Amino acid sequence: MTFFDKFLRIRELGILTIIIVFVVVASIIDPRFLTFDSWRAVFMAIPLILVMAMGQMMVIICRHVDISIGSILAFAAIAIGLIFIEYPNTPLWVAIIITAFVGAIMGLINGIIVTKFNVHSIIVTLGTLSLYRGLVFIVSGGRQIDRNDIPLSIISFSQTSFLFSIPSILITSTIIVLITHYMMRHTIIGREIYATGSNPVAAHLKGINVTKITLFVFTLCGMLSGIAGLFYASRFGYVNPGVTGVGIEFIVIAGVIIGGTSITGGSGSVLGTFLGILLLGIINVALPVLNIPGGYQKAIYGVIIVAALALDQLIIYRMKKLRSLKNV
Amino acid sequence: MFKNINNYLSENPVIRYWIVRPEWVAVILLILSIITSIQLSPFFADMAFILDSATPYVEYGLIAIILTLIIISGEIDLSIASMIALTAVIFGTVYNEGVNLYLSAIIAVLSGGLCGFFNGILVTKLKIPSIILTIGTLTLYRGIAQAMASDFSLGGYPSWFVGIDYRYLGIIPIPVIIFTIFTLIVGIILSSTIYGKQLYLIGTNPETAKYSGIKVDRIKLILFLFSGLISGIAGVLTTSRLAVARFNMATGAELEIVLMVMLGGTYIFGGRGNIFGTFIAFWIVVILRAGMNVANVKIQSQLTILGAMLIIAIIFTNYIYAKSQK
Amino acid sequence: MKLATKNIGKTFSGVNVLRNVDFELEPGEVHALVGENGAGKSTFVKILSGVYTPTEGQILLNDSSIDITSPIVAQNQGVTLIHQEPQSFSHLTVAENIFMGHMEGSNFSRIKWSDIILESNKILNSIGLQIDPRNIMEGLSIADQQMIEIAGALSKNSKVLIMDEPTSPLTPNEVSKLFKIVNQLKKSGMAIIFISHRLEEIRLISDRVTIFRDGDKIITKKINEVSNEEIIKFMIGRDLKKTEVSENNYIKNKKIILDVKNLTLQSKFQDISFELHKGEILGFAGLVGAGRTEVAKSIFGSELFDSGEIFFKGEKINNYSPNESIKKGFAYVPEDRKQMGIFGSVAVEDNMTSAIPKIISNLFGVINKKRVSSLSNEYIKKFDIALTSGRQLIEELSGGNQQKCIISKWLLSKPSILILDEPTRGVDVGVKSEMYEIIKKLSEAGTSIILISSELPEILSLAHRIVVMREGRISKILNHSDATQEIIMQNAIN
Repeated sequence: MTFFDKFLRIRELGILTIIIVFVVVASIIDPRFLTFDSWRAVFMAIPLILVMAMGQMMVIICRHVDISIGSILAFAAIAIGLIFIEYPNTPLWVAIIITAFVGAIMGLINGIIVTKFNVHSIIVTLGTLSLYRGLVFIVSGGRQIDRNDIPLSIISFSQTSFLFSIPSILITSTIIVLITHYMMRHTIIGREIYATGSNPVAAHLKGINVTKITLFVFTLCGMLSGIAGLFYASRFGYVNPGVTGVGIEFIVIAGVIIGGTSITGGSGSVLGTFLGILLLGIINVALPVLNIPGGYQKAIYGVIIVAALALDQLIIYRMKKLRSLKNV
Repeated sequence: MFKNINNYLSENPVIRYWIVRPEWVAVILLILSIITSIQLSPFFADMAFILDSATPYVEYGLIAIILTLIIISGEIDLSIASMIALTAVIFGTVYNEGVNLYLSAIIAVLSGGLCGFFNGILVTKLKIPSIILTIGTLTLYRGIAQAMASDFSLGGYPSWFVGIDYRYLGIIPIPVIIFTIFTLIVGIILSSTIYGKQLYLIGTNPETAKYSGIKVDRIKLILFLFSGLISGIAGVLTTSRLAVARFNMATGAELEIVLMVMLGGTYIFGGRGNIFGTFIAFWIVVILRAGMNVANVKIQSQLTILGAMLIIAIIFTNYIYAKSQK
Repeated sequence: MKLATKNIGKTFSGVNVLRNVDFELEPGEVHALVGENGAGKSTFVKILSGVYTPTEGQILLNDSSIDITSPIVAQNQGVTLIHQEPQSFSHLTVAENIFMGHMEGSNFSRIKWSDIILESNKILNSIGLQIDPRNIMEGLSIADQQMIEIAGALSKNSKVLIMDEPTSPLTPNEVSKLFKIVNQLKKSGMAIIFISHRLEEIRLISDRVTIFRDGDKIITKKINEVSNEEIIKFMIGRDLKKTEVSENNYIKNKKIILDVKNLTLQSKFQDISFELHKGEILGFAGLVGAGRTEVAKSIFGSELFDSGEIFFKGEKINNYSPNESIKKGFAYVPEDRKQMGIFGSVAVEDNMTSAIPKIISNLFGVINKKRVSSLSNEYIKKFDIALTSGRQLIEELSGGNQQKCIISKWLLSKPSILILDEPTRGVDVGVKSEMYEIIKKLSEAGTSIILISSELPEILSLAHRIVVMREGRISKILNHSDATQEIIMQNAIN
C-alpha cells in the first residue's frame, strides 16, 4: 500500500493517538473518567451524530457539503412526534421507516437543486437550512413535543436492549455504521462515489452517472438525518422546534473533517469518521470531569477543527515535497 | 419573437451585457416586495417607516458589502456572524473591566480584524479552502465568545451609548446614511478603480491573475482583514442597539448576509457581481422583514421565506449567467 | 474488427473544421495521424471515440454503420481513447482505475476484490507492467498512469486503441517501453491509431500514416513508401526552406541582459546556466518534460527554485515574484492559455490591460476607460485581431486571436525580456507566420526573447541561438548556423 493509503492510516492512527492521550491525561487528573458511567455517557452521546456523520461523509467525499441536516433532523422528529400524538401505537420499525423517508425526500430536494440548477451546495443547503426549519415551525405550530407524547417503546429504544444490555440505539447505529462501511468499500456504488469525488471529469468519461451519484449521496444523507431525528426523540424525550438540531451540522462536519475526509473530495473512511466523532464525544464528556466549564466546549471543538484543517495542508505540503524528491 | 430577441442580443454583446444581468432580478424583486408590503400594511407607503426599519439591518448590510467583494474574488467568509458575537463580547468584557468606552470599542474592532486576519492567513498561506476554514472558525469564534461570556449578558453601558444609532438627519436615520455612503464608496472603488478590476480578475482566474503580476494573496488577505474589522464595527453597533452583548448574538446572521449578497446577483463561484445589486438586495430584505413583522408573520416562518428566496435567487442568478455565456 | 469512416465531417457553430474524411483501419495495424495544430486530426479521433458526434458521414464497424454518441458507446463498441493527460482517480487503487465504470454486477452487489486483483495482474503482466494493482494511483508517474489507462482499455476488450500524442510527456526510456507494448498489442490483433508530431517515432512504430491539413484528409501512405520531407510537405503544403536568421544590431553588441547561473529545482531541472543577450531570440528546444517551462517559470518568479542565481543587467535578483519581475520588465506568455493566459469571461480590452495597472489608472487608482480602449485598439489594429468589439469576452475569440491578445497584453508592458512558451500552439498557419514577423520585429527593436517551442522548424526559423534541454539539464547550446533539426533532436533525445 503506498502513499495515499499511508496518509489515511496516519490520520486514523493520529486521531486514535490523540484519543488515547486525552483519555490517559483525563484519567490521571480525575480517575472518575475511567468509570463505566463515563464511557457509557460517551457512547450514548454519539449515536445520533455518528449516523448523521455517515451521510455527511459521503456528501463531502463527493465535493459537496450539506448544512441543512440539523433542520432535516428537526423536521423528521417533529413529523414523527405529531404522528405519535395521533397514533400512539406506532411501532418502532414503522417510525424508522417514516423518518427515513421524510429525511430522504428532503435530502433529495437538496440534491436536485444542486444538480439540476448547477448551484453550489453550500448556498443551497444554507437556504434549505432555513426553509426546512421554517417548515418545522409551521408544521408544529410552534408547539413542543413532550415526553408523554412519545410512546414508551420509542423511549426505551435508547435505554433497554436485546443484547448484553447495550441500548438498542447503540446497536442500531453500529449496524448503520457497518452497513455504510460495507457499501463504501465493497460495493460498486460506493467505489463510484469515491471516483466521482476524486475526479468528476474522469468519472464521467468512464461512464459513471455523476448526477445519479450526487442525488444518491444527498438522499442518503437526508435519510440518515431523518433517522437521527427519531433517535433524538427517543434519547431526549422531547422535540422543540426552536432547539432541536440547531447547530448540530457544524459538530457533524467537524467530526467528519477531523476524521480525515477532505473537502477536496475523493478521500475519507468510515473508521476515520467514527474516530473523529468519538474524539468529540470524549471531549464532551471529559470537560465536566476536568472541571472545564461547559461553555468551553464549542471553543475546543473550534480549535480542533481548525488545527485538523491546518495539519492536513501541512501534511499535503510535506508529501508533495517528499514525492518530488523521489522522482529525481 | 424570442428567437429574434436572442439573435439581437447575440449580435450586440454590449447591450446584452447590460440587459441580461441578475441585478435586474433584484430590482424586480424589490418592486414586488414593496407592492406586497404595501398590501400587507398601509404603513409601508410611509417612507419614514421603511427607513426606520432599515436601521437594525445596517449592521448586516455593511458586512454584506464587504462579503460581496470576498465572493467576487472567489472566496467566502461564513464566520461573520460569529465575529460579530465575539467582538461584542470582547467589547463588553473589556468595558466592564473598567476600560474607557472608546478604547473598548477600538479594541473590539481590532480584535475583529485579528479574527479576519487569521481567516486570511489560513486561506492564503496554508491554502485551506475558505468554505471549510470559515465553517471551522465560525465554530471557534463563537466558542471563544461563549467561553468568555458564558451565559451572561454584558451590559452596563452609559445611556448615551445605548441606541446610538437612533439619531436622524431629517427623516433618515444616521446609520442608513452611513451605510449608503459606505456603499457608494465601495461601489465606486469596485467599478471604477484598478483595485476593483483586479478583484474580478482574481475571481475569474486566480492563476492567470498571479501570472499577470497581481498580488492575489495580499489582496485576499486584506479582504478577510476588512471582513473582520467591519464585523467588529457591527459588533459594537449591535451591542449599542441591544444594550447588551451576549455570545449568541447574531445567530443566523450568516444566512441573512449571504442572502443579501446572493439576491443581489453575485455569482458564488466568483468573478461576477456588484455592489449595486447587494444594495438593492439589502432593501428587499429590510422591506420583506418589516412587512412580515407588521403582518405578524412568525419569525420562524420568516426564516422559511428567506430560505426559499435564497434558493430562488441563486437558481435565477445561475440561470442568467449560464444564458449569457451561451 | 475493421474500423472505417465514410465522408466524416464536423462543423462547430458554422465553422467547418473537418470534411470528407474516408478512412480505413485494419486489425493489427498501427496507423499514425499527423498534421499541424488545427489540421483536424484531434477532431477526427474525438469523433471516433465518441467525444464529438459527426455533423456528416458515417462510422463503419465491420462494414456496418454505427452511431457513436458518447465515449461510453464507443468503449462498448471496442474503441477506446487514451488521453494525452491521463485522467485517473488518484485516491483509488490501480485495479479500480482499470475497472472503474465496468465492474460486474449491479450497484449494490459485492465487489469480488480477489477476482479484480487477479484480472488486473493478468492484464498488467500482459503489457509488462510491474505494478501491484493494490497500490494507490497517487504518486505514479505519467508513463505508468498512461499504461494503466491502456490496461483499462484492454480490460474492456477494446479492439481499437486511439492514442493522442502519448509520447509528449514521456522520457525516452518510457517511450521505448510504450512502443514495446504497442508492438505486443499489435501482434494480438489490436488496431492502434497514433497521433504524433514526431516523425522519427512514427517511423519506428507505424505501418501507415495519414496526413491531415486544414480540415482535410490529404493522403494515406505506407510508412516505408514515404519520406519525412514528403510527409512534411503534405502537412504544410509547401517546401520547408531553411530560413535565414540574421543578426541585428543589438546582437552584434553582445550585451548580456540576463545571466542565469546554476539554477536548480529538485527533480525538475539541474544546473541550468546560460546567457541572454539584448535583442537576441534564444530558442529552447527539447522534448516535453525536459524542464523548459519549469526553468521559464522560475526565471519569471512564479515558481521558486532551490539554488542558483539570476543576474539581470548585471545585478543579482533577490526578490522573486511575478510582480517583481514585471516591474523589471519581464513578460511571460504561458503555454496553457486557458489556465494561465486569459481571463475567459472578461472583456478583451480588460485582458489586454491586466498587466499594466499603473498605466491605465491615475493616482487614486481610478481607471481611465479611454486609455484602456485606445491602448487595446492599437494592438487590435496592429495585429489584425478578429473581433466585433474590444468589450467582447475573450473566450469567444478563436485560439489564434486569443493568443494575439495575450501577446498584446505583454507587449503593452514594454518588456525588455519576453518569455514565450509554445506561443503558436493551437494557432492556425496564417496567424503563425504573422506571429513570426512580430517576434522578429521585436528582437530587432531590442527586446530579448526566450522562445520555448516543440516545433523545430519554428525554432530554426527564428532563434539566433538554441538551448537544447534534456531531462532537466542543458545538453547543448547551438548557434543558428550549426543547428539542424537532426542535431537538435539528437541532443534532445538520448
